[in-house]
Amino acid sequence: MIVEAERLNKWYGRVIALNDVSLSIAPGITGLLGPNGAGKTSFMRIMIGLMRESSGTLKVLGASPWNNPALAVRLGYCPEHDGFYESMTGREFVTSLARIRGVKDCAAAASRAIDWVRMAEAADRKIVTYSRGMRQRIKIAQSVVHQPELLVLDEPLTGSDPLVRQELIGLIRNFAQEGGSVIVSSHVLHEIEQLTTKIVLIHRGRLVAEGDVRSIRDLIDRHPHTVEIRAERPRELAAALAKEPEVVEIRLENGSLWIRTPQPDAFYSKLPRIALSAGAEVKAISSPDDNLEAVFRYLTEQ
Amino acid sequence: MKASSALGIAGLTIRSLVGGKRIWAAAFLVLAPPLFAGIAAVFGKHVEPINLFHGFIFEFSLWFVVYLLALIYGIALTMGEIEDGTAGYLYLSAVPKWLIVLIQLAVTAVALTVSLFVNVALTGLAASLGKGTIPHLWRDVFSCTLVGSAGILVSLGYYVTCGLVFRSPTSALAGALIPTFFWEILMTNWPIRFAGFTVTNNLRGMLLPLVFEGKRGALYRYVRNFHLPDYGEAAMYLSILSGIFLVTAMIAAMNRSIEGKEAR
Repeated sequence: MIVEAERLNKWYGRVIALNDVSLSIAPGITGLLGPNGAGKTSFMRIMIGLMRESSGTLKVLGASPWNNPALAVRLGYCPEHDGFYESMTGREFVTSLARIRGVKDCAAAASRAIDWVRMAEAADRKIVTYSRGMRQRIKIAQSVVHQPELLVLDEPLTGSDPLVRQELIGLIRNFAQEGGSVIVSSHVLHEIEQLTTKIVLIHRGRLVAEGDVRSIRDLIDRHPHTVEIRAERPRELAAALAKEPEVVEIRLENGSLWIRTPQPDAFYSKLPRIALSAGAEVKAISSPDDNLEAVFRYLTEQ
Repeated sequence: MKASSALGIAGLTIRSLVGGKRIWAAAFLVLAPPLFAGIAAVFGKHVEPINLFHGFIFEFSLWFVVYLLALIYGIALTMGEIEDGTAGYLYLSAVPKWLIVLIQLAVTAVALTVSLFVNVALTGLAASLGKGTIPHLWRDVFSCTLVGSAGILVSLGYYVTCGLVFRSPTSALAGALIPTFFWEILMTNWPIRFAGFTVTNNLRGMLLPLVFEGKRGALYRYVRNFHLPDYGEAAMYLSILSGIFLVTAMIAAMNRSIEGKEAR
């Protein structure tokens, strides 16, 4: 395991940022998911030793990260917020950070990292002139310049346009393919979906779920699914569906019926018969639950 | 930890010292007293160059310039990096946090001492513009810079500690300003025994024998109380004080969480 947390807590005064979090993260790419303010950044900052836990223990690569420079240089960190020495060029920035992390030939290492993020052409421009995408890429360059074993990326795709996003996703995948481990946070599930199937869900400082997407999906069955039905005579169909024990909520919106059911399989098998008896021809059935976004919403609403 | 990593920290500290808007405030502090001294020297009717020079270093250089330079850079040295997010990069290095702060303090103290030297030297030269030269000008310039460097070390250590101990820039600034502008001003100008415990009076106590050859000359009128420590007492007091602040800053650095804005 690359990260092991045991009853981890973090308080900011009276506000709880992390509440009794216990988890293990295996090598590879792992997505850390949760809405804004869930505690993802706090968890990551404790993980890289920038913050100290209030109680509990956290081991990263087998060691405690707090006040541990030997471990710090084995980690790469890309913060969410833009914090730069703005008067520097991208190359100076990456070279300086390579130097303080003890890299031997820091100029060559910086060039490699800059090439890797495809920033060679703009590397000698001042950071203050960089676009959002360039800033993201140079931040990733500094995070890999010392060839860390574990890369911690805090919302690296936020605010990027689709083209940059695809490039960044490619870079993160490449890093993992070359043997590194990555922990990447996001509040948008489809971003993580493109990177990994291993996810950890955090909400309001609590660990909601962890594991493979498939095991997360199993949890869905404990919670109502939402189904959208487009049909002729939707009011009659709604009246017929309301009598069924599998249906817990019905809503009519813009000509569509929105059904919530805790037993989707039973509901789907009964639907043709009910529609027939109500004389309502079903034109389309769709479920927003068929993507990870719904999994996330279900689990974090608990 | 490699020496090159420590040098890297020093390089980044120099970059942050010269970058940003702080440099303009520092330039004003360094250049304004010589400008005023020059005007007074050229246009003043009964101005003695040596009295003008000593008056300026006594009342401005060893007081406003030392404290305000240290304040501008001391708070920003740690709090600025935490606020702008660069502390995250800096503390993820091969160098322990206590040593990062020590390197930053040392580099900044040297840079501010050089600035003080420029300020004092230009003040001396400007004061000489009117009615003749100042005897022992460079001896006085170096003496004032030496004494001022002790003041810079003490005040910088205190302000950096404030930047590490307090969680917000406002509280850090308040923590820094209250002792400087209440304790120092009140006690320095109040003829009671506590005057011996101000940094200002200890700096003056160190300076007087160096500049006036041990004699309480014309400038003694600037000392508004009669509890001025002698050179040895002052050097001892300032050494102990700077040691306490340096150690406190290093301990504070080891215990300082670099929290993001989400923590507020």
